[in-house]
Amino acid sequence: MSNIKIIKGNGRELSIDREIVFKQIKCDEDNPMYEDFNEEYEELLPEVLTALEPAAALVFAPYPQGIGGSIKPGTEVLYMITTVGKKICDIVSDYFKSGDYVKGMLTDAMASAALFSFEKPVFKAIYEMCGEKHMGIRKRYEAPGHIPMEIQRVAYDALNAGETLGLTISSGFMYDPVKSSCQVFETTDNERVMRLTHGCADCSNTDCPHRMESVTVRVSDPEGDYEFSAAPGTLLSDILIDNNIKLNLLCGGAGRCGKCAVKVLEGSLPVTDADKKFFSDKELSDGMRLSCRALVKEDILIELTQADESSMVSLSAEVSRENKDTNASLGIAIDIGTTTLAFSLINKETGDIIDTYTSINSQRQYGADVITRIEAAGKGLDKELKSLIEEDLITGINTLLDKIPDSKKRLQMLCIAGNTTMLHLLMGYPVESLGVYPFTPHSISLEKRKLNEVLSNCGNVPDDIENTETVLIPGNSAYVGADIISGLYSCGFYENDKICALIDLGTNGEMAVGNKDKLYVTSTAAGPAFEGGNIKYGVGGIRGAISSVEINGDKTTIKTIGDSEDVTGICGTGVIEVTAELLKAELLDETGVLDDDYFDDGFPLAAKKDGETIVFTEKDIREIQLAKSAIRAGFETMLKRYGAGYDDIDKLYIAGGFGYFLNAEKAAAIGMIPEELLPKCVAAGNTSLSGAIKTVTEGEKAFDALTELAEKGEEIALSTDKDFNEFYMEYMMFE
Amino acid sequence: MSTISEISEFLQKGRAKNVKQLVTQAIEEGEDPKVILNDGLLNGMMSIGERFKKNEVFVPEVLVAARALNAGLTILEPKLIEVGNEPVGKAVIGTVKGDLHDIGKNLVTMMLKGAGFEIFDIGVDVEADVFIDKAEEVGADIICMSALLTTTMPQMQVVIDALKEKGLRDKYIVMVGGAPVNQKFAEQIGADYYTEDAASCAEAARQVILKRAEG
Repeated sequence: MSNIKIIKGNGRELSIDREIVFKQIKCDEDNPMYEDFNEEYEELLPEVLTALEPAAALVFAPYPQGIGGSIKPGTEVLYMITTVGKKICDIVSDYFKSGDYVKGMLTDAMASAALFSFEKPVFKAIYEMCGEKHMGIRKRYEAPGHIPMEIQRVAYDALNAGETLGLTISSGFMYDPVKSSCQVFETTDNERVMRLTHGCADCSNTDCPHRMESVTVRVSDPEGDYEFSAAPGTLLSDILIDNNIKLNLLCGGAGRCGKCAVKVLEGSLPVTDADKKFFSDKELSDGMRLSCRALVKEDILIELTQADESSMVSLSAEVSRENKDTNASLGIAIDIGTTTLAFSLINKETGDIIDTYTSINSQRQYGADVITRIEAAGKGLDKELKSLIEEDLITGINTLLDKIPDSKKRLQMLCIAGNTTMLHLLMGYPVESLGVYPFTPHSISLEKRKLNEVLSNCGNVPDDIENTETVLIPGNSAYVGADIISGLYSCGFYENDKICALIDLGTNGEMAVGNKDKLYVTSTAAGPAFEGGNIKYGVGGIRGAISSVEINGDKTTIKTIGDSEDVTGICGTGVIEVTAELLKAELLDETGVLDDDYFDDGFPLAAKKDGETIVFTEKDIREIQLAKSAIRAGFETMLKRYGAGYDDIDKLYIAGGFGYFLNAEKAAAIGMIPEELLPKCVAAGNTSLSGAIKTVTEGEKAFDALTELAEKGEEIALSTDKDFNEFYMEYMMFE
Repeated sequence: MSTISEISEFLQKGRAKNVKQLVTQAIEEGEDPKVILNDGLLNGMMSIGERFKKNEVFVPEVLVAARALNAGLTILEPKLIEVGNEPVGKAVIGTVKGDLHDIGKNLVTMMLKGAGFEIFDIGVDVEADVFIDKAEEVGADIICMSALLTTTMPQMQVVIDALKEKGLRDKYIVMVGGAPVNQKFAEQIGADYYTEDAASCAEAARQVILKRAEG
């Protein structure tokens, strides 16, 4: 029975919801015993997690005759049995037998909560199975509340649960171990309907301690609304992400970035404090809400308002020429950015770039910057984050190779660059220490692995390339990662006599100065402003984003990415340009205060398709001031430590996808880079990718140079640097 | 406060360590083990049961009290055997055939112990004959049956019918409970008592036995 899908989990990866546990034993926070129980809970947790043996089985089958219930016989249903295994049930029994009723009740409730939380990974499999069949889920049934107990026998047989899950079934149709559960999902042809969660509304067991009503969330879409079910009180952003609706929680769901806004069309969501910060009274009354703060308590119909990022312009190397050589050995260079991924397929012998591919880093749904990703990993999503990036990589690799005959057999090397956190998440290294002082990486040395050792979670690495050598570029520290070392390598820092500097304007501002003898590196927290984060109408580098601004008297001229008429917002370069232009037009003073006319409502730039005016606000300017002075102060501190003046610098490379499109004059005009270095500025594009391409071409020769650069770079810690703080205040102004 | 009433007080607070230590102390002071049991441990446990029924305390308080009771009993039991203490009564308890639900039955066991009963827990998925054989073997006063499913509830009837068949129906008090069970169903199948929760079950059991002793 090969069509039965079996999922085996690991107890330590399950999260037990403490609230559910305490609700079940009827111990609320006001109970005098709460603290004692909480202590016991903490004590039991490791034992319980170790004992859990979660497993699930899924299969499609027609609903049988003669069972009854409201499903029509012959309807295709999906049977699901989940269990957390026998060990935990034995532990519960043993505690009761020994007279420790407290531990008995707690472990019992914890096992139930674990069984419940195991549904989440299983739902992912259901999504896949339904996707293949182009089916949705109309309704979920559970015996005996919605459907006769006999169905448990039918499901048991259909899933061959005796063998696949090691269960037995009693004459009353109960499963042993008892912490097992059977669900029947009625399918529908509408694949946008996915009502997967437990619905208690029509269950007959009204005294059930787990009883909760279910709410329906519909997402309006011109091609047909999506429909999901959820437990009341669930965060809207969680519901959307669980159901594969891509959200960009740039701030990791902290209610700070405003990028997850939705508009409520039917039903209501209470206005939260975060909503009040982000939306005007009119917007609030129009139904605008932040989905990361909204607890759904009733049925709602919403519309997504965030810009579609699928057109995000990511910087990859330029394709040099048509490559007709069908025998040449190939290589793939990859830059894993926090926001975007860039891939280049290279003729390994000539270094010619045959093709490129870019995509959004799917981990973005769990946060825009490295810190929120590290936090997400700390909440148990590390495996999920690894899977997401693995899927992104294999998609890019396959897309490039599938276009070229015999390419898989000719692929000889892959080279991956990226910041330290991205590479840690890819390799499955622990990341907790990257987020706390003293910011110690797990491993940042050059790695030579087989591809399937790097992509160890996804089972779909093509056979022909599973053993292909895969090189990870080394990094210097938690903050100065392989992306910078790769960039320094591509700009020749390992062989230059003259002193050069590099600033990489990604989500973090990393920079370096030096030559082949002495190299200083540092990184500065510029914040997400240059990527559109924390900017009222900020967006990533997507189609329709304002990327260039000119103000001439009363006339404001804008240019958008892709010259689109459908203006979506302001991207990082647009943010710098509008600031520079406002300064030039004297609508912004040197302390960062907008002209009276625009102080309250912002400076209007363009109208969106729906008539809404895109403005640049006083608050946006404050964000830019913080960001640009962080970059500039980092750069000045680094030069001072190095003992170099502007005259000593031969070239200033501005790197990063954002750096490529940057108008250096305008960056100098707002004081982000020194005016004096303008003639020496080189827009270097994605140097992290360039370094990876060079590594693929040079092969072994590159490895020593990379390792040397990684080891030579002396890191300046800015957060404790007195000069940095002074520079930071100094460059806050526009002078 | 006397050691005995302190035992009751600490038990109600769920302080297992103190209860253990006080029971040891009371034994050393030469208190009658029966007094320690009845006026100390069981008095505390029954007070908690009372307060639970009045919604003054909730499940967590009952659980910690029961654990403290158990801690005290572990120390006291050898002494009780020495003095030949007789339990209030003996009860056989189990979940009926086909049903594997354990927790409700465990809670009833806990409360019956707290009411001074000697309990014979025969587990889950129990055949009718096993209930009867065990009751006969230990000389039980009460048979307690639990069922949590409408599909397994009829098994209670099977046990009662088997008792009748063997001419043993009047020898035992039959008590039933579980989420789908109610008073009407209990009457229908010819059970003696239905109670809503574990605390009421223990209290009812104690009263029945005491009444029977009065004759």
